[in-house]
Amino acid sequence: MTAALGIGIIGAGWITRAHALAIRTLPHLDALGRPVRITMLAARNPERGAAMAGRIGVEAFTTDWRELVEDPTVHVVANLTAVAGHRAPTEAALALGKPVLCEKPLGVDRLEARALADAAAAVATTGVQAACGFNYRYLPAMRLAREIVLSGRLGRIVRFRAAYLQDHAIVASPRPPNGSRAVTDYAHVVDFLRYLGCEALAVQAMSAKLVEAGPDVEDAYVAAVDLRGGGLASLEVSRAALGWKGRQVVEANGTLGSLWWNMEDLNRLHVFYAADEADGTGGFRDVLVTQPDHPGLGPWWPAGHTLGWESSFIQEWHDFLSAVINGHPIPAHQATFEDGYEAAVLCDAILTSALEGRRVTIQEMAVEHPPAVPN
Amino acid sequence: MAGVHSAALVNLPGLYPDLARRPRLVAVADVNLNLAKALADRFGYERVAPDAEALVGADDIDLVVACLPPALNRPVVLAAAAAGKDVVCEKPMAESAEDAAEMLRACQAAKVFHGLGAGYRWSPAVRAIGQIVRDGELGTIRSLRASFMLDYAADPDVPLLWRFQKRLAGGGIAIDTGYHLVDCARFLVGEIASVQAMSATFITERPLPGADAVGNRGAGGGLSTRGTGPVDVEDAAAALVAFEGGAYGVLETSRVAIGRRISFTIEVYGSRGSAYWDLERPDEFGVCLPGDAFTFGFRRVLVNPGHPGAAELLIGGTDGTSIGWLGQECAMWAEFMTAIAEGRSGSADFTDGVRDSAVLDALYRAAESGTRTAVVVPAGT
Repeated sequence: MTAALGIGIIGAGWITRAHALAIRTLPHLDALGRPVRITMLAARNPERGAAMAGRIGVEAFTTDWRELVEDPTVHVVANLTAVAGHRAPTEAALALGKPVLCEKPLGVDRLEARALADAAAAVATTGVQAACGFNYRYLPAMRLAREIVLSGRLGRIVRFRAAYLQDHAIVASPRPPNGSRAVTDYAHVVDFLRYLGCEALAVQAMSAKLVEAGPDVEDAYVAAVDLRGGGLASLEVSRAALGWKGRQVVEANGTLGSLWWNMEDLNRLHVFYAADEADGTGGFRDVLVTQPDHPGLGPWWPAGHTLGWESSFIQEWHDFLSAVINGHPIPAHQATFEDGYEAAVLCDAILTSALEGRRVTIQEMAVEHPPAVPN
Repeated sequence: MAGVHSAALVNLPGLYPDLARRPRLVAVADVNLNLAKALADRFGYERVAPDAEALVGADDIDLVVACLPPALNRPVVLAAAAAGKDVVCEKPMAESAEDAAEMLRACQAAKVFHGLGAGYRWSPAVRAIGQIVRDGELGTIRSLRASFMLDYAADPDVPLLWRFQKRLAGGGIAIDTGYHLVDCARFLVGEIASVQAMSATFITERPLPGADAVGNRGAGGGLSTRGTGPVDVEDAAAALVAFEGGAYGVLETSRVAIGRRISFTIEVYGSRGSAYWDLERPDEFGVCLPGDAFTFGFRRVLVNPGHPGAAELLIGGTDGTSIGWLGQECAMWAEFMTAIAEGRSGSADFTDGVRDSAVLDALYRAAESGTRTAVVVPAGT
């Protein structure tokens, strides 16, 4: 039997549970051609880290990420820690030729994201994979949405809107205020814009701090985005929208049709084709995205058996580890470090526009020369 | 319902400026004189008639609308027909198909117009589904599933109104809202050949109503101090019906379904596709048709001006502007006025009323006997 592919996880936050569950579930979903095992967990806080290691059933635990990155049982690194801890371990692992799946946002800003994308590019030629954890790309309805958009059936996308609304910053937040920003925390909506084939040209944004307690960072923003080729996108985010727990709505209006999706009803994609109106039965199709021939769903259940939020992590790891095991690049629908960088550029454009009160172009935010690695 | 018909008639000229005949509201009669006066004031009737006889016999009245408890419609309709008046009768026309047939024959003999007040078949969305069915878009219809759920009777303090007495209502919730299930089932799929059914009464005694109790819940009347009386009709009923065309139907109605104020849903399944409608979203319908397997799913179609009867009611001129419940009554009255002007029978007339009642007769017999019961349409209707 082939030796197991060892995965080392950095970070002991709640998202670690989602990834660990996915990695453990993978063999039940699809044969990857090689066993997969989480061999080590690293986290700075010894109590919290040891507890998480016990919870996800990992024997080896360290408080030093370097030990994990260099450990011979670790073939692949999952960097799931807070964004401030993304750069150094990720660069170290890539330098050792170890593939990395790094959570979003990729870096604290576009400069760091550029440096990480360059680090990934430097080893890509030797077959080392790097993926950014935009897991919502993997929800089946959004996979299907991308295929429909790329097929051209909606025509040219001229209007994109995405909103991500939650109220955890007000209602019994289980997390202490750690300075995380709404703009980068909700980078998912920024990534969805590009995932559905749109490219930003410029941004006008406003943001607001809506919760008195906590550090002086925004809890909400709204942004208007000019699209390449003509068109307009709007992005809206709040973590202080009372009543909403996980309302992430994505909508694309094209010249031939439209589609929309809401994460609260995540198995459904609503698709409208203007051509249907000819016979009086035009309307949004309520597509239950559970068919085995829908993208990524072949190994899952018979049609009509719904999937949950956690399935996005399982799909994400399925594609990433398949690429690692088979020596292929990650698939086009998976987020690369370049995608992580592009998201960071747009996030920084939003922050800059909100701060300076002006229209900010993507071009002026682009990073041509990444800074040297800090010590 | 008199108020609903009145509101529809008042709105008719505005919605249908080209109507050949416009209604004029002349007189209203009710055993409760206060109610009659209030209705006359609200909608501009020229007078309150002392009783139904006076109203039916008046020279300046051409058409009589009967919206009484089922057992009380017949004498009014017979008198109106005998006086040569056109007649519209709210559903259910009568306690039985035989009584309804007598009303039909009287109108036919007197050569007066007769229209059945069954509003839901006039909903543009329901009509659109009807057209899709008749166009063969759904293929051969295999089944219909319809439910009409309410909760007004879940409260045991709701008094013993006429709706809870067989003597006046002719039955319980089946003859009342189950009627709509039957009428829409016939409208969409076709005639019904036989029925299997169950019914149940959950609240068997109710307080006697106060003198002025009106509406489903007996509002305004207060409770009587005279004690309680027995409920002798059903609170809920379910039926399996066999259509003459080979399809089957599942019908369910209840007035003790807590949380359902008025939930009326219809689903139609054919060999090629499906359609559904829900009164809580009256101006849209769902349809699933063959096509691209990748985006297989029900389309949520908003009623638009191209749908049957919708153009006049979408006063915003476009889909997305709601029509609502009153709109279907207006559509019905526009059809009746047009039919009267053209000297023809209404689409939905007493023939439909007789057939609807025949299905309900079979339903009650089936619920009592526990056996599959044939629908018997009175001879000559």
